[in-house]
Amino acid sequence: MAGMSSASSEYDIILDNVSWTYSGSSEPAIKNISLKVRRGEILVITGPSGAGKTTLSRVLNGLIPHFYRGEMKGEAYVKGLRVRDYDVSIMSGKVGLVFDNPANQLFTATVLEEIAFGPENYCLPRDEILRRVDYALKFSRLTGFENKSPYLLSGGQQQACALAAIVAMNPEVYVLDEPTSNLDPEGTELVFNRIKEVAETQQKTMVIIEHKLDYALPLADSLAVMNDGEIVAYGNPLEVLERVELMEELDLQIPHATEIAHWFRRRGHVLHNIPVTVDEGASFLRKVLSGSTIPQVKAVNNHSNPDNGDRTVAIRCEDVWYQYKDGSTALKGVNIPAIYRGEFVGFIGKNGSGKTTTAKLLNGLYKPTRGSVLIFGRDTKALTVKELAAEVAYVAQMPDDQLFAQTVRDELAFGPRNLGVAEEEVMKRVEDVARELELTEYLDISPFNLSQGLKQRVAVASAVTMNPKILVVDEPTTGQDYARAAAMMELVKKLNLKGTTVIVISHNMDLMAAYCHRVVVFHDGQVIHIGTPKEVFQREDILARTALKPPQVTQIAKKLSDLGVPQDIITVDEMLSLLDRVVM
Amino acid sequence: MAYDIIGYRPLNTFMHRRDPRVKILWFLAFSLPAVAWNDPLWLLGVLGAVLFFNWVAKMPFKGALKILILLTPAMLVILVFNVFFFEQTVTASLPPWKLYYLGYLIPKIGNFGPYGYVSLESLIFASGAMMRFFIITLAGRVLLSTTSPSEIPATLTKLRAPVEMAVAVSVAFGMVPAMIQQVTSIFEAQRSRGWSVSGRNPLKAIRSFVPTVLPIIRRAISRSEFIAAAMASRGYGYNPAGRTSIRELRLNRVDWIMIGLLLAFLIVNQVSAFVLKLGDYRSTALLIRMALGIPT
Repeated sequence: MAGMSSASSEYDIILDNVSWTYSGSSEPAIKNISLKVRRGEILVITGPSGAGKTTLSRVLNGLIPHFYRGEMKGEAYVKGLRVRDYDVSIMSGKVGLVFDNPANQLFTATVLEEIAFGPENYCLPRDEILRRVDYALKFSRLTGFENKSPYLLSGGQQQACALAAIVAMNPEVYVLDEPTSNLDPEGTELVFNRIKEVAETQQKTMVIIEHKLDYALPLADSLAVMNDGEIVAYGNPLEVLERVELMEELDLQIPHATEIAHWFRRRGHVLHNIPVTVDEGASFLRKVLSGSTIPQVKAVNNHSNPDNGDRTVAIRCEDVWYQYKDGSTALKGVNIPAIYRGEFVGFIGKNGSGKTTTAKLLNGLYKPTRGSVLIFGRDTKALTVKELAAEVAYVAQMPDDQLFAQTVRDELAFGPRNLGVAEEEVMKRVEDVARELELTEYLDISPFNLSQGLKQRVAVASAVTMNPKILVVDEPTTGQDYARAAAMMELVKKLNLKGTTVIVISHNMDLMAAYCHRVVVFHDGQVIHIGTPKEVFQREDILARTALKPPQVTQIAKKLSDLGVPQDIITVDEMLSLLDRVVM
Repeated sequence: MAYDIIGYRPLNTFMHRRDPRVKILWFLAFSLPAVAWNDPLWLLGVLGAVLFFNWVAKMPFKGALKILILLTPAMLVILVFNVFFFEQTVTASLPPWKLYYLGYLIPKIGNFGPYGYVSLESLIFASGAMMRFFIITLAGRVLLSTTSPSEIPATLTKLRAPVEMAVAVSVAFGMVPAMIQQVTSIFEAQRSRGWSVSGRNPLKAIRSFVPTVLPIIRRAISRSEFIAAAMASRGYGYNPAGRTSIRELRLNRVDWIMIGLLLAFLIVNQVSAFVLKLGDYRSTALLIRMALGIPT
């Protein structure tokens, strides 16, 4: 392996035709992966869920083949070490791996220990551990939280803590597997700023697996797109982004600026640079639009309020306070005058601002400490969760955690059976809902044999069979790729069109902009604004207070206000239909 | 949730600052006397001392009250058991005088009864036994709530336990809040689907827990695999024998003074109880009989 060792001086990571099949699986999770990452290079890997990205990350620190069982083909070298030959505990000294879900990687009682755990394992002297922990705490902005349980931190802080635990080990290579998948925009910003600091100040080699390309791409030296276990595109980020058809086929969440540029290319424009960030997008459009006059029109609104004239109030919250058993106050006087029947409403706001607590008050899981929640005029205080379940269905975060039945059919029947619906009617509902949500072919198989996306659909379907008038979906887009998140929203929209009042909680502003009639903005246990997405995304004061970021296309439009570009553009479609009228 | 009452509270009090080894000794120095003595009056003193440390550790007394309420069923069992079987179980320390009978716990109804002869002595003895139970629980609570789980591995290592065990114990403690969260969220999810514990038939009731227990177990298993992978990814197993620790246990002067005082107290207690035969319930019984004018 003389050739390898000389090559390893230049490259930190060399994957040569690596394939891996988990034992018990017939299909390889990754197939013939070949990659080379130079010292100091930042490689971003993207691709739909289930493409094998996480499996690839496991190869890089030796979890594969040493921790997980299965069959490996090909060779992997990291920092000159042949992965097959070295145990995870040795590889981990060189390669720091951060997982996607903080709950799955924080395991000690305090932040301090969490960060010290790695250095302790490497038998560093106490002074050195203290020095590193101190640095990592400052780095992750967690100074002052040393003695707190990592689980009691906010989502962003948890992920920052997971990153700090790796930073304290001072690895030469960082592998970050969707480090922001559970985070609100503020948390995402926090984590990416931290990653950027490591990249800039320490020139570490990095592999970042990420869906949120608008955050990751500005850091990237190279970009790889995975699908179905294989690398389908790999190289300079801008060159990879040029492959529009591939991007569209995989339904990746490409930055709006890039999407707009692609549109121009399709219309025959010759582009030299593909824009990625807000600034690049704005200056790109500025060049294209210079000279043309922009008609004084409002952007086309493709989803205004449901004009069914139904003014029946479905939900009303009057000065709702809620206090947890530990004494912390989650809601401090939430007022929602009316959510009307048939509306599609989004709850937005930071983690911990009271969205989920309010959702749980709607179906009676929590009862207000003060004030009242009215569902179709009835006070929830007087009703049990079971009584309310027939009116309000709540689909929790990570809904596939609640599956338990032997078949999808039983899973769907569980809710209505609990409500005492006659068996004949239950079966009819199951059949109807399964047809509606395209689950009929899976009815008689175990929900556990389904893909993640289908499991989520089953979870929603099992709420729909209870025939709720109101459907509350908590974070359906968390930990999902863009295609799946959008599919989930489509599903909910379908139910909304049939008359169900829908409430969705999400951090994905692009989807909220595209689907919601109105959004309710939460901040610090209160509702600070209710309005259409268009209106809310223009309110700089609200955005600043809640640290919410409007869709990228809205930010671009704002930068072009002097050209007369309407400020209330919130979807790419709206921007394109405007451009369509302006650009030849 | 029980964890709220006994779980670690991150404060900085005199008790929190003590070395965990001192706190373990402190716990022994109050729970051993609670067993050695059985005079309710003496035990009241011990209880007072434990409550004093409870106050020093800035623990809300509401929690102590909650514990008292939680322990009530068990204490009632202790009471009834001691009253019923006083004469059979306390043979070694029966008073030299005749027991003063107050009446029957269950009166004679037809051919049934009477059962449960209640004597003044048995009541006094039983109240001591109940108090003992309460004292040990309270002292344990002070120990747990002032000792960070993060001090446990270092303590165990100092007490010569293997590193693997120390880490395992610490991870187990660290997981408690996460487990509680997980269990709560699954219960909430299923209640949202109209689930409730149904039926008085115990078999049916157990069956009705399937929709919650299955997901909890499944989630716990998958989570523990992830945690194991995360631990390995942080170098766990690199060199267990040489593993270092960020926590360093060192006894300071106050700790040594505490050790001295606690040991002295423990010796006084053991000697008084087993050599001098003091702290027996009989002296209180005698006092009360005299006060009530019952001849011995």
